[in-house]
Amino acid sequence: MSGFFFDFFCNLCNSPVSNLKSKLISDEELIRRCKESDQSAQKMLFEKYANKMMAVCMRYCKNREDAKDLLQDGFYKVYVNISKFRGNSKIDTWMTRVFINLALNKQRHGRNKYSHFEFDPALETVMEEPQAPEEVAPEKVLEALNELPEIYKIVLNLYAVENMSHKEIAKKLGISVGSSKSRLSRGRVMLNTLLNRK
Amino acid sequence: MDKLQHIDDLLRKASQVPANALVDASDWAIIEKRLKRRKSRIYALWFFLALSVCTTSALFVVNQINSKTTPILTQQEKNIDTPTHNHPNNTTTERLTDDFESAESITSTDTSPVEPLELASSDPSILSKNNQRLQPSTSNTKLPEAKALVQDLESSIRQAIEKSHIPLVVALESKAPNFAFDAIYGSAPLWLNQDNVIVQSNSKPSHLAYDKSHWETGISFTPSLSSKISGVNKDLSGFINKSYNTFVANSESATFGNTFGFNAQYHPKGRFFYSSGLYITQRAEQVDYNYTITEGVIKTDNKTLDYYTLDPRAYVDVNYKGSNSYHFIEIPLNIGYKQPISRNFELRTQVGISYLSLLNSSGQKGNFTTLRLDDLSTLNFNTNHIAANLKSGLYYNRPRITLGLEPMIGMNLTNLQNRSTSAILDKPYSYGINLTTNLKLFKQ
Repeated sequence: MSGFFFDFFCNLCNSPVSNLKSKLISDEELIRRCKESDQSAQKMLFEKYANKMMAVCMRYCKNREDAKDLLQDGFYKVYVNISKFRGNSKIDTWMTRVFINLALNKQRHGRNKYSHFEFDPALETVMEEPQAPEEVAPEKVLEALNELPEIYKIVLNLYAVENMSHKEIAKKLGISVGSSKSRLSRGRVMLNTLLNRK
Repeated sequence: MDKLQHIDDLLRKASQVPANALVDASDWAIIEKRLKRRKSRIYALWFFLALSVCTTSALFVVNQINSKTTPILTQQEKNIDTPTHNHPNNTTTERLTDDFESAESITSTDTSPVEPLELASSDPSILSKNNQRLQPSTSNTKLPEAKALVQDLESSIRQAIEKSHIPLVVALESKAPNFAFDAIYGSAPLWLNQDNVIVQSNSKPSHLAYDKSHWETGISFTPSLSSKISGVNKDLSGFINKSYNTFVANSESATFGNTFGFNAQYHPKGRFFYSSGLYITQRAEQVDYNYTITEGVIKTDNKTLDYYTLDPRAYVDVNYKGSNSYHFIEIPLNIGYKQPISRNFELRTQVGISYLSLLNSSGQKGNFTTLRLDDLSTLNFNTNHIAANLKSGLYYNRPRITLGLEPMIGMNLTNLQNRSTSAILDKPYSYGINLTTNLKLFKQ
């Protein structure tokens, strides 16, 4: 009965029921129901975090199609492995890790269809560029980021956005700490160059 | 390079912006479909797991029961029942004589003269009569007469075998030593007392006897659910269209297939048996394509694709719903184990491999590069395949016929597509219920 009134209320508010529900139901409740393979809860979790995760996917993929593939694969993996989520962190933090690991694994196993793009080799040689403006539209930053070679893009993402240390990055990517530092440095230079060109 | 650290801040800010416009309902639909597919796979897995556990448990329990119901012999009886030498022909005469000779060494109680037995048969009146004659007297039984009794019995049994051999073979081979001994030493010859020799003698019915080799042949039909495991050919992975997964792969699902054919099993002595046959096997997939091709592709080099936007007038709508099927000739070679669980039922488990030869393929499939529909009959598939099979189920066993109901799973171990031409490699599999009707062929 309460469900009926809830749906009626949602209709009054002219809001898609599931969207509103997903906002009103707590993460803990959603996770608990997802662990029981409740399909409506899975859908609500998707609706709640799909946009945020898509942003993550966009940072690790070249184009929208690849990002959508990663989004689908990532959410599938989240649902399959949600029983392993202990609740020690926020669900979106955990999900972000899942998505990043998935993107990195695909790349590592050579099956990464998210990486077939060309880049300008001249970028790697540019060392002295004026500093990019402080305020740049986020779309432009992401656009420029996507033009970077994969190896720099990933390190930049992991360091700047995910706040990982060089040691953690090195461990995750199977490279040395020195390589991680050098990739970050070169990545910054390249991104700066690209932002200046835009 | 520290002056470029503001790049990190820019990146951090950009990452906070959710990609609102990029997610749509189709994404959830695809995830939902994959979750459902996984669920059905899990059900199938649990089903076979439960089946395996049940089969193993049943085998264990039956073995335990069999071992418990084996009569506990006294040391004296053991001495008597233990053959003094091997019986190359396993004949009744030798067994009875051996038993008799063993008995001689233990006791020499006299037996009263006995009348010759009438021809043994399943006629209760005759059995009863024979039984009365076999009742030993408590005194003055003489060994020569007992020998005569044994010989008489032997000839009676021989004649009985000729007339109604199937039930008596079991009685003879499984219980004859005890019977002869009992006849001489006083306890009632149980098997002759009963109308139903098989039950009372606690032996298996003749059609579950595992000491005779025989053939079973018949027909077999397996309605099944068919699906596939898809992989990527690394050598050609660059030719996979970026929208292939979304448009094509996610639109393919499991559907019904079947296997039909001639089945032959050879059952040597013991519990193991071998199975083969000749089948027509169908593996299939359900496709439900509904998309519009808005981008053309160019193979930039031999490794990757480049995309260009098509003129809207050149868009290609792909709408196709149907079942793609692949027909194979299948020749399996399985090894099996059977375990009786009751008078007429037994559990049989088979495992093995099959050779499959692709006969034909029908249907349409989205091309992994262009996304356009290809007719399956024009595609380059491998002709020869190897598959693994697992069956385990219940058989209803009669003297001349067996009926089987076995859940089974069969999976191609080789790729359907040719590795040199396809970037997508599928290994089809199917799981279902195998229905078997076999006739038994015994050597005369």
